[in-house]
Amino acid sequence: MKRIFALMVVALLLAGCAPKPYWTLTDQKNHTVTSTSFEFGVSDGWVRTTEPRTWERLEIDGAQRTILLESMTVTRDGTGLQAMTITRRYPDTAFPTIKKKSVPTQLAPEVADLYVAELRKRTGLERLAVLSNKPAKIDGKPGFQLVMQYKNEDGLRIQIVSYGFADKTGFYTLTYRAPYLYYYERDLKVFNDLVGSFHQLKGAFDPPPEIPGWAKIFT
Amino acid sequence: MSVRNFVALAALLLAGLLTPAHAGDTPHWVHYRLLNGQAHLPKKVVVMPVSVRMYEVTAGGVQEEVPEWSTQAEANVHKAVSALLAKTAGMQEVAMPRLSASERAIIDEHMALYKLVANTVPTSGLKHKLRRFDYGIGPGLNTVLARTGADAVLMVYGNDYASTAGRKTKAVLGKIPIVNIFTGGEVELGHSFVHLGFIELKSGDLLWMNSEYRQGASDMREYDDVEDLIAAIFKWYPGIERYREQYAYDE
Amino acid sequence: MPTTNKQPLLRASWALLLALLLAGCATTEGVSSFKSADDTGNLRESEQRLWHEAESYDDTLERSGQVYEQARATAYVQGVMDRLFPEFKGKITVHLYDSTDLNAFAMFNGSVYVNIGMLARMENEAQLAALLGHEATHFIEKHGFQKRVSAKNASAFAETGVPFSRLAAVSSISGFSRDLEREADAKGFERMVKAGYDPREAHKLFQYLADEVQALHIEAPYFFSSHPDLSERIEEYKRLSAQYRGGGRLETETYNAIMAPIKLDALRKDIGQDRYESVILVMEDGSKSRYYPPAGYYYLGEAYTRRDQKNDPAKALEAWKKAERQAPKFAPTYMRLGVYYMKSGNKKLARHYFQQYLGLAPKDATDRGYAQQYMSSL
Repeated sequence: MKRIFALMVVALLLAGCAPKPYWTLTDQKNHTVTSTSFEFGVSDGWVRTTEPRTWERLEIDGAQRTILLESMTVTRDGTGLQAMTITRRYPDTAFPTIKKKSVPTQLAPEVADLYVAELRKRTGLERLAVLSNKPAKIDGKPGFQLVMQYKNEDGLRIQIVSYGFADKTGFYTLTYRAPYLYYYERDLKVFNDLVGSFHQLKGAFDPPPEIPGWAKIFT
Repeated sequence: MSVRNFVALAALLLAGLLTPAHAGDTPHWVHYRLLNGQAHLPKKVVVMPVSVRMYEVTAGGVQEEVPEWSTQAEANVHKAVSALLAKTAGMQEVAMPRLSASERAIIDEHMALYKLVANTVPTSGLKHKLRRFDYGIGPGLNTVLARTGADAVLMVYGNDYASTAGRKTKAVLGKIPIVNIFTGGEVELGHSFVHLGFIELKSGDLLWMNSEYRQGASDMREYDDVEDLIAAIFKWYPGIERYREQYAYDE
Repeated sequence: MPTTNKQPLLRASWALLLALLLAGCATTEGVSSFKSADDTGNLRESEQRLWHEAESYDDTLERSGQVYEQARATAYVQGVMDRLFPEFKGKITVHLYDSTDLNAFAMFNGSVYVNIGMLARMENEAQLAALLGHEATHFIEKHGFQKRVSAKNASAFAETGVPFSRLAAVSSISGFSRDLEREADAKGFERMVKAGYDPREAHKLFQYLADEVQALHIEAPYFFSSHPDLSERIEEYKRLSAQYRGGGRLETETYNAIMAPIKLDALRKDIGQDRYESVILVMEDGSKSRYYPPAGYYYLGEAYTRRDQKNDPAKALEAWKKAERQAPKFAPTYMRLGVYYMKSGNKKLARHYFQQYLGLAPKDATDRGYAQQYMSSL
């Protein structure tokens, strides 16, 4: 009996060691995705990252740096084709490659301009064109809606729509990227529904996490 | 229970938890509408402009496209594909019509989109898409090609890397211990790659696709080698039942 | 007991490898420069490969939207190139490249790309001629082919490891050896003089750029490459131009009239990439800013706002006011002044400027929605 019990404990421990899947498929039971600072709704048949990404490595002034963030990704066909990304950046590292912070008193178009400059510098895409920049409300907060476009090396137009706002907890963006041909319009409603369902949570007001110990070696 | 049996049981449990849920081994992809009979196999097919680039790779790894080789490889691939379409029951090749500049631009952008889709499919990591493969590029091509009477197009692209004699020698010497300290370690030799995909014109659905990758002696300037490559791809056509069995499709 | 002797095997392997690698070694023997457009039809097989690659790259640049479409400026720059190299008319083709980097590059097939950032910095046609003379010489002297041969030979005994970037492989963008760059400087200068341009302008171009590199603490752009370095080039051009009396074609007014929209767009793009230091360097200096449209002071105001140092807010306001006076039809200035007064609590002035903006800005202007929103809240 003791041995059977011991085997069951071992089996349970081993089950706990199994890695979580990177993606979670959305069905009627798990439409709402909850992270620390925000939650949002995802449509049936789409997948989302099971856990939020909490850091990224960037090259800033020739040196590698670890930057904290909170980010989740949603896709239907693979992020190579389309990706919806919901990201919170902390105030001091809101625009890391252009070394600017986010401040709650910034106006939406000012934040949008910094965001575009950050995107261009980070990706090296000088030719990223802004097609429109309009005021928008995200979870009742004043923000921006940017529509941008560029062409890849094969001449395929890639369209990006980003909603964003800044408050005292940081800079938030909800971004959808897809080929303009066929995919962008096809899935735009799913993205608009996601934006409409976005809601900031109390966890946004908790102190930001620490950089993981192991990552500090590389910071 | 003995210690030996305990260890064996633990190993089995661990293997059971870590083994992937499914290990498919069919290289081709079939749209779910073909699996459930909502679509028919292509009958009249336009072969889209074939794109094959052939490169020479030097001993030091410098790659240079050789335009005459690319032209030869493209001609061989188109010829082999046409021959196979002619042999396939119920299928007929339809000529690509003359295109205006604006029509050419539509074709080009759809081909660019196709390339992105074809590259995303095998790397997306989304296992449920195997069961319900539903990729496509939209019906935009139909606006240009409906006048041909075709119901599908075939996308064809590939590349071939041929090593110089110096590189081949380096590869051989790289395998010899002690010698390879002076000549450098092993180097990768050339490879050939061809991808084929059928798009249904009316819906833009990617009905079927497959690729073949070969390392070593294959040379796409040689028709026989190309014929062999294309045959290896088409061996899996249409493979509907094989695909259904492998991925337990259920609607 | 017989002993195995590995030496013959090693020697044989080395000899075989050496023989095969040397047999495969590329050479520039027998390769001569192009004498005219007709010459470009007589290429060796190895040259044809590079030509084809360059053509493919032209296609890539065009379809991916990297070519800056501005017909008037493109035709003008092409005209200057044809004046410098009449025997290559139709073969050396100029394109404008959509980047504010201070750069230009030539492809092996005669395509020459000039960055709009470079066009914006120059002051007259003579400086443009110096630049085009240099780049076209790279093409005529087949420097790209020589570079490809060197790369193949240098890597023969070792895997390169670092990817040989496509653009670097088919163009002058990453520079050539010191000797080849010197050849391009000297022969490009000769052409400039022969076409009647003022030779004293050649070194000025490099001087302005050396000033910018120093002030902004940036790496020297590839057009200049690090071999030889900028100061050496300035001295070399001074030495070359000392042989000539002053005077010659400048076409300052023509140049700046045609380049005005490009200069303004380059400022806009610099701000859009947070390169505010470049904008301040150019627009703060009267000797440089006089070559820019007066609406450029709007971007100077934006640059001060981005830099955000002590006194920058006041400097920004001054710059926008200057733009308002000197470029009264430039709509973005009014939006910016409206926001400034709104933030400082002056509702009356804020309303005035937003109204001005809405009256001047096109219907699809990106800031229109914000202006309307702010108006309704005041």
